Amino acid sequence: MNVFRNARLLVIGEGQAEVESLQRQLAPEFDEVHVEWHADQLAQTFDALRPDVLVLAFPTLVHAHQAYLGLQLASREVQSGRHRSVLLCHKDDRDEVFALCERRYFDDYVLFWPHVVDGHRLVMAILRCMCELRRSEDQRSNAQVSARARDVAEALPDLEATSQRVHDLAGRARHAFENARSTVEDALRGVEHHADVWAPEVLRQEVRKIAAERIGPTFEETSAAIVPLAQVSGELQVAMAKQSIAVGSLTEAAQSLRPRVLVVDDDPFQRELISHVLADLGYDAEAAADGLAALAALHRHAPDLVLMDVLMPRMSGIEALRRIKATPPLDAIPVVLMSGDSANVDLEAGVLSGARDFLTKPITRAVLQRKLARALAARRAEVG
Amino acid sequence: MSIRCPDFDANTLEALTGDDPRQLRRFYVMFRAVCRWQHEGLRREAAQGHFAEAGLCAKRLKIACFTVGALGLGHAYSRIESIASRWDGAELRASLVDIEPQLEHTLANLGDIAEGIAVREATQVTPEAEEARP
Repeated sequence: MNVFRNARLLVIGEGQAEVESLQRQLAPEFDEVHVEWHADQLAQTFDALRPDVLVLAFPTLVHAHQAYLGLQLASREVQSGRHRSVLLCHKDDRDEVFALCERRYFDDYVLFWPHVVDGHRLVMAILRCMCELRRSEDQRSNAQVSARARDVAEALPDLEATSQRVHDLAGRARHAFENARSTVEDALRGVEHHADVWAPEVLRQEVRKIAAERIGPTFEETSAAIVPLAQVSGELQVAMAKQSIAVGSLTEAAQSLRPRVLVVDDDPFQRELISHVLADLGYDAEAAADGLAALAALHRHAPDLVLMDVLMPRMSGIEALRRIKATPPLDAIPVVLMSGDSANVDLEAGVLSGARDFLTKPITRAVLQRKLARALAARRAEVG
Repeated sequence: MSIRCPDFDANTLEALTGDDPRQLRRFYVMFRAVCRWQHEGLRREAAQGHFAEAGLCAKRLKIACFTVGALGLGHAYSRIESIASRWDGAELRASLVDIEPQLEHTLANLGDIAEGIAVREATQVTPEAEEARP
């Protein structure tokens, strides 16, 4: 049984006959198969339908590439990356298409021209894309859980210290109270003794009356308030010890789920170097070579933070930032911009467009560490 | 490793990536390849009179040089970036000729350092080997 029967598909191409033929082929497997062959309507149709899987049925790779690039530039929904793509390709383009799929530009391909070898392969490719789409949604949830786990783990030491302080204060209060009671009782006994010897009976009776009616009840009342406080603080400590063990396990799990940072830089040397430094600093680094690749990567597996160069081909860091900030839920991901020139006006544009912070290249380890920690902490505070 | 001279500071890269010799060597080797490739790009853009692109290449080279501690070469690329921003074709071509010996010297120096790290790694006595000694 096809569990993804309700998947929404859009088949695009250059010829009506071609895309409608594919629609007929896919209709028995999927309830919603839409087609579009008008080049000027592709973005509009995509935005209206918001398909799960886009099937590109163009006779050549160049045509498919141009159409997809045009879609990415024109459609906000395509940029949101909530879809997967399957390319129908000619056997002669196989190597190049494979390389593009490896770089995650397309998600899968099916040999389609000059003739279809395996009729079921397209359905399998779509099902595989749907599985990956569901998994990426789960991963997004996992990232949120791990962020929460890290928050809890970080809060525990403060909580434990507060509990210990409450316990100490309660102990000191009880001790002070016992001392006070004993001192006052001694004093009263002394006065009573002197009254026996020197004073008349009436004074002795008066001291006993004060002790019985006023000082005694006050001590009892204070004791009733302090003793349970000390007991509760003790119980709190026992409970905290159990929580501490549970949070310890959670901390270990959270540490294994390190904050994810997407590094976007077209310079392979800087990309590799920064990814290495981030890994060394305890982050999981993923890399993208330009703004468009970053947008695609963001939707596949949402990171905790984006570290992006400003000057890049195809789509600049500023343009990618604007698109990220215009696309919920990606808009919540903090973006730190990098540039080789601190006086660059692009950095101002970046901050105005919603960049959390910026770094000047060449980066230094300490500044990178500090800025990322600050951006992530600010993000956690906003969410919390 | 602590090699200091006006043109080169080996501590720069170490401060960024950590002191793992394998990683240091990897990034020196990678820098040499990327630097040559980007310098070719700079020469090509300059020859075609593409000043903005040439300036961008020079900026990338400058950043990469400063990242690995090749300070002298980094400053030279910084000057080329500045010349490109003035759209001065003749001076740009002249400065590209001038920088060649410095580029070759720096890349050879970095090559030696990378080689030195490799040799030290290869001849290093491991704790296991130390224990196995008679």
